[in-house]
Amino acid sequence: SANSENRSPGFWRSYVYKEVEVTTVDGREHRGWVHTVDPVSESVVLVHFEEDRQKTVEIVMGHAVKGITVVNEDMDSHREELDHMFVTADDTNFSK
Amino acid sequence: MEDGVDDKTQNNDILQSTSTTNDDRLSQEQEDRSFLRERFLHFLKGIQGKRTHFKMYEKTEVDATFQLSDIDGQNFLVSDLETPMGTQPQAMLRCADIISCSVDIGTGEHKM
Repeated sequence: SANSENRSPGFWRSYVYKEVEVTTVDGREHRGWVHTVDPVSESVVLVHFEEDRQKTVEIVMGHAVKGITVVNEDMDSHREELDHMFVTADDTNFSK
Repeated sequence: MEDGVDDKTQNNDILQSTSTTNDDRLSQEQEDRSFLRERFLHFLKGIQGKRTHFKMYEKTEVDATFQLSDIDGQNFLVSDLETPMGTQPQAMLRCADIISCSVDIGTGEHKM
């Protein structure tokens, strides 16, 4: 299971920008584009892009993750949006 | 004899390249970790003040306004938590009780 051991940051980073399906311990499936995976809690942040551009973001808690499968490898289709989603003008002053 | 010398040089080369590879691997790992964590913190900041739907164990689902997470992600501080027993103005949710939570972030146009 994805939760049984501590994975490397590189392992988690390989999912960023891809569309995945996360299965949780309650048997539910969570599908979305990976914005990030918190390297501390291993919680997965998924974004659902809707037709009318209304977006939903879902966080799946690391401890509840049973498995994660890539369903779309195309890392460029939502890269721009995923990168700019939570960054405000204020933040750019602090990064790098 | 010459073979022996070659072996030794080769071994040294291997040792040297292994330690460089280790350094590279560690700094790559650090780079990956900060990339992921920074995005996660921006995400937490981005959903601050937004209505959030929490799916918890035992088929419990509640709505609340997301406020803060503690640094190690053990608890979420929320406000206006709607429970079957009424609305709590402030509450702390244990992350261990949460399976997932979702937030509408509108059109996603970032604030300037």
